[in-house]
Amino acid sequence: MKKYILKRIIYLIIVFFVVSLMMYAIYNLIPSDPAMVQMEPLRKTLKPEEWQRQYQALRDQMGLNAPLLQRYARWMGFMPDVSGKFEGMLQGNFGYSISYKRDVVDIIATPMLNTIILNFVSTIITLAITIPLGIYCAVHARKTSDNLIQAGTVVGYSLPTYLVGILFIFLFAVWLKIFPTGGAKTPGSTYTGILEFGDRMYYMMLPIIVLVFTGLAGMTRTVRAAMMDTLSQDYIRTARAKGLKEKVVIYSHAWRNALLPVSTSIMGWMISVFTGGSLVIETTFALNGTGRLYWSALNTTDYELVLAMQMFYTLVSLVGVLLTDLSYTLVDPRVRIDK
Amino acid sequence: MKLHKRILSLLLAVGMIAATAVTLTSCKGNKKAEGQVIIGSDTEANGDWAYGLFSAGSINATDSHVITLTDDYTTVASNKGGDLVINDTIVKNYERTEDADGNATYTFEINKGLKFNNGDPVKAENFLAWKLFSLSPAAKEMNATDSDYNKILGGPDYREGKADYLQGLRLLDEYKFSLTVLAKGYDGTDYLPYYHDLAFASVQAVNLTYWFGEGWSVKDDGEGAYLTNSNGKKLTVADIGDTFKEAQYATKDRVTAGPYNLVDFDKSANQITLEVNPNYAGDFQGQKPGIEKIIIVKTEPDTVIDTLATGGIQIYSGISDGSEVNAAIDLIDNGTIDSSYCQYDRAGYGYFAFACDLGPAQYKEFRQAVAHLLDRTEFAKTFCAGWGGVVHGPYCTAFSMYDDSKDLFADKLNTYNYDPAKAVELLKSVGFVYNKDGSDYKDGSGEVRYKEVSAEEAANYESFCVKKGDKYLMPATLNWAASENNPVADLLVTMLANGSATKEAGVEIKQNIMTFPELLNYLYRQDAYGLGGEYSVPTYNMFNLAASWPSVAAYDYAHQFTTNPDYIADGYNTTHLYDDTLDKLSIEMLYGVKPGDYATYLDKWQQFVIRYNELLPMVPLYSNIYVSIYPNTIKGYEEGPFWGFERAILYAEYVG
Repeated sequence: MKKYILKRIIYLIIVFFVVSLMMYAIYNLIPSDPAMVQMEPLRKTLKPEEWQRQYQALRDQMGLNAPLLQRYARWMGFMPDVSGKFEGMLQGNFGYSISYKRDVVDIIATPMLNTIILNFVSTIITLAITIPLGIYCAVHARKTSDNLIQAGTVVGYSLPTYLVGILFIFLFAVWLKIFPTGGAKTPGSTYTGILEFGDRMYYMMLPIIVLVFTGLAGMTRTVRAAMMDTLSQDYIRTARAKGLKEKVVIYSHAWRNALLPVSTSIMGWMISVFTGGSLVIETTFALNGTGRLYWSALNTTDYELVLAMQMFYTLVSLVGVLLTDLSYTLVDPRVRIDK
Repeated sequence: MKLHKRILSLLLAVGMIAATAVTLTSCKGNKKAEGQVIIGSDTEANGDWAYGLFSAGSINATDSHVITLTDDYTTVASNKGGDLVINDTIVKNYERTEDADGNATYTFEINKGLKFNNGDPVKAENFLAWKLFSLSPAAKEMNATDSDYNKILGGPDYREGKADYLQGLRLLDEYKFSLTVLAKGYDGTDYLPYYHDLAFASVQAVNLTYWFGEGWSVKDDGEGAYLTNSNGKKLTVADIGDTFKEAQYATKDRVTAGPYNLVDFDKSANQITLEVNPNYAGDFQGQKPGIEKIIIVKTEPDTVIDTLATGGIQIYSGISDGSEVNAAIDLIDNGTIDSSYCQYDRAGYGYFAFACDLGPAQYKEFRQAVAHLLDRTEFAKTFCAGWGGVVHGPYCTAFSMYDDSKDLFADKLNTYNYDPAKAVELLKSVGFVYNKDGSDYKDGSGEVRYKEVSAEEAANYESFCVKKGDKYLMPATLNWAASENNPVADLLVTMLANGSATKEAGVEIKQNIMTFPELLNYLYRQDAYGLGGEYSVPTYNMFNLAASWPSVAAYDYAHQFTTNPDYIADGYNTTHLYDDTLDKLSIEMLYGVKPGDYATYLDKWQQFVIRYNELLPMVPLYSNIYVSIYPNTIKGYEEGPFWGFERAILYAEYVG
């Protein structure tokens, strides 16, 4: 087991660096010049020669005139930068955001926390609904109730999240006046402790409802399919023939076996929603999250910020895949990793 | 009885005087501030309070609101009309002197008793500190982008660390200081005379301890001012690094001197809370805030009207989208919100510009013909949903110069009305009279017109042209760089590029959709990215853009029509209109007129606008009427073209 994990970690490191080089090269192909961004406002206040001199000096200082591989090595921290110091990602320097004018690491933390809270709560609620719902649908497959649930959940799946968001804002905020239209806390509030938490959750509830509504169909169908597959197995027929109660058959025999494919989906889903954020939800509800930050960075060609986020996602995805593989051993005793 | 009447009269008189005094006092905002308002902003605050130090002029809009509301002790202010004035609340005495070379020295004596929000006194050194820092070697090392070192006496030596003091800044006594600006700067630029030269004398008070740490002060040994700490040490990045960064990105308890204090910037909620600063002495007119608390929240364009309808925000400032304006006013009219609105003309406009050295756009008559092919009045009406109008040159109706030029402009400016026949006439006059095969063009054929041109005229446009011996036939085709997801571009396609009048006149407009940064690369024609010179090759001759002026002083077209190739290579004269008269006027209008000589300035400005209107390097499309919604819990709220939310709120009063 240890040997297997070690081998996977070595693979992970190699893949990480290959991906980082590819990402860096791709983003460097896109026309963007942080020195130009910084100097542009001075175009009208400096004489052209002076502007050009300062611009070139800034490019030198930022190391932008070096070849691509050299810049990559500096960015990653394999090589010293222009000042002679090793200040790359490996040293904990994730770059500098030209639009926020501060270190990337100082920018990411807050939206990341918001995204994790939003997605954690919505994922838990979604799972709490979809797993029993999927089991129920599988057990009552092709009956009216199953058909109704399938049709109902597919509505949320089919409609664009943006549209669902706008509709729910109209319904719950403008018409019923139950929730606010957006934001993350009561304007001007100075709540602390449980009150602050409650206020935050109140503001997050509508986006959570939208996320849950749009996420129902996918997981319900996954659970339903896995359960139906399991319920058609011979050992389930045997269990029923033995006279076991239907509940025991479903929850003791069928569900554990159905969990294997479901767990893979859940793990992958959770990792993606925890880290990736939701651009649409965050934008519709004026929430400060990573999806929105990523989009904003792309629009402002703030590529150091984009790259840092991209590398973070890469790392999380790679670790996630490893954890998913390892999780098989937990849900299925038949799986043994020895090599 | 008589005594009683006299006493009664006396009491009445005293009462009236007291009432008058109270009224006058409350007019200045000395009435206790109360209540709160919530304003929506669609720009996410960065929380960078370093006054644009690291990217001058590109400060985030919400950050800028907060800075203006919290940091207001400047020597020069912009009034409601957008003109620069001395801030009399701060400045006790002001003097401008000029030496034989035309170098100007601005001497200020500031009022005693001014305080920062933490109670620290505001003295002369506080006004010198920020300039001394932003021009210092330490700021240079931090990539600060203040370029004033070129025009302040001794600037370069100080910036490069060759001099420990800045000769052009003088600390004369505890409450007196001066600033010397050179007529001819170290970079060879003629800085003076400059009509808006008061802008050069604008300096802001900052708290030294807050920004740089304990023990820092400004000294002057007779040669110039300098920053030093109690150990006599010069300011370095290492000394101030953490303290400065903390102050730059503070989320509360900023030490400032403005109408409001930053109580909280909650980044996770994108929410800023400001509360009134009791130590504030007033703005340049002595006005103090009447509203106790301001909360700035982030809004989204798609849901902002819903947020307004549900009370999530109370002030929605400067709405430019006509349909949104109508939706917001509907909320007031149908009683959904208890609010009012004010409206004002935008100090700017949307337009499309030509590259006047490429293809058919190099001919004045062609540019004028294109203007005649678009019904600009209808365009503005449609685009602004009734909340906008049209201007006919590089001006806005909010300028005082415009008010003084209305009659002249009515007489002299070509309004380029929708007139396809006139367009055809102009096209013919400049030689667009051929078909692609060289035969005579038949009006109304719907085909593209061609003009016989020399190889020089066809330069960079050969791919569109047909070669005919040593000559070319150039089509009446514009190659348009259009920014993506842009409603202006969409409407231009409908009303101009695909317009029946355009086709019938024999003009073709090819739309090329691209990102805005890419559009700017083509506009500036700069090979800044080492990608092989793609952008440096003239490719497009039409661009859709917009212009805005935050103040009258920001109106500066100097060098924007230069013929100097070095300037052009560096991105000046993006319209590539090489006209000596326009170039001369654009420079002389500001750099050749003494401050206060309004008559000369107005004359040059009028000549500039008239010449511009004739040569038409750009066609103005629309100038919005902005609308701002505010709750009826406040009164006296009045925004203007140069008087944004942060100014209007200072003059508003909470009435509950």
